[in-house]
Amino acid sequence: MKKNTLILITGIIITLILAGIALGTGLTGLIVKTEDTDFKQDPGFYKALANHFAEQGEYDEAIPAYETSLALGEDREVRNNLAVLYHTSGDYTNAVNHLRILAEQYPENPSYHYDLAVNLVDRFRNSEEQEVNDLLEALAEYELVEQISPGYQNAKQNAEVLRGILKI
Amino acid sequence: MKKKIITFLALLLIVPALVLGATLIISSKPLTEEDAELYYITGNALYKQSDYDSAIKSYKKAVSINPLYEEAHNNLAFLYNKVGEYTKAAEHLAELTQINPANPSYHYDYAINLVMDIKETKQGEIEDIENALEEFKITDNLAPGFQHAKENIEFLENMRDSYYSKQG
Repeated sequence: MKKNTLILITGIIITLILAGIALGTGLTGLIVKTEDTDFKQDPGFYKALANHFAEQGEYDEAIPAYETSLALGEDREVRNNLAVLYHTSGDYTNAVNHLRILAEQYPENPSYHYDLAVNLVDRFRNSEEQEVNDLLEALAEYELVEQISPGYQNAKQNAEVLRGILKI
Repeated sequence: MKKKIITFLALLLIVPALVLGATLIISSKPLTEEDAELYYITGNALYKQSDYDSAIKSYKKAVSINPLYEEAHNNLAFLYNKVGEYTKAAEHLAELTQINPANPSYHYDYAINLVMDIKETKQGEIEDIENALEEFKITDNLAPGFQHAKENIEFLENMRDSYYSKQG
């Protein structure tokens, strides 16, 4: 046998042994293949980015990132976080709009109804053009919360206070 | 190479954020029946709907919770004046002259409502004229030239003198 042929056969045998070891020990699991993702179209990327900004307290950066994420794909957590950030920044109308959608999509979730009521009262308190309808809607939402989940946060007490204010 | 670095950094950001998640929550204080401001704002909203009776009840509740609530007393006086209840308007303006004696408009409006009451009921006491005169004088001292304080002082002094001359 020629020397070159011997080297080739040895090489093949070594390769087969290493491949066998790799398969046998599950080393293939360590092989990572990077996906060629277009992040500009990935709602998850914007969500993560927004979460990062929100955690840093950079709400002006977080809000547009959440909005972009939502425009690329519906995500209840993104919509909820957006509502929370709008609430935090005093934009109660936008918070109300997002929470209305969530309350409609997940009617059995008391927290969306509760937060909607909170934002309606806050909008009533802080807007130039107070609408009694905001209080009426808030009352209905608190009553709904109490119906869905009796004893949920301060829903019962808040409903009683609003009933007292509105019956006058 | 650059693309690979961007991909790596994006993954570095996304992976922990997706794993950990970040659901934000709205924290809110419970509503209370002792919230004078909420009653005051409700009064404003009811006034805008021309529901004066309900607005008055809301403002009254606000001042019962916080007797020093200037805006609520002022709006009560305004509404009572608007519906022709000058005695009640004067009562709230008398309160305001105690709460904030440096504000000339409270003294002026108090005097105006005392005179309006005399004019409306045609049974004013000389004490009411003296009171109104005194309030117009305080107004003119606090803010010389304020509205028609000077002319009204002259008019009421003539009226008072005429009353005493008739009494002999």
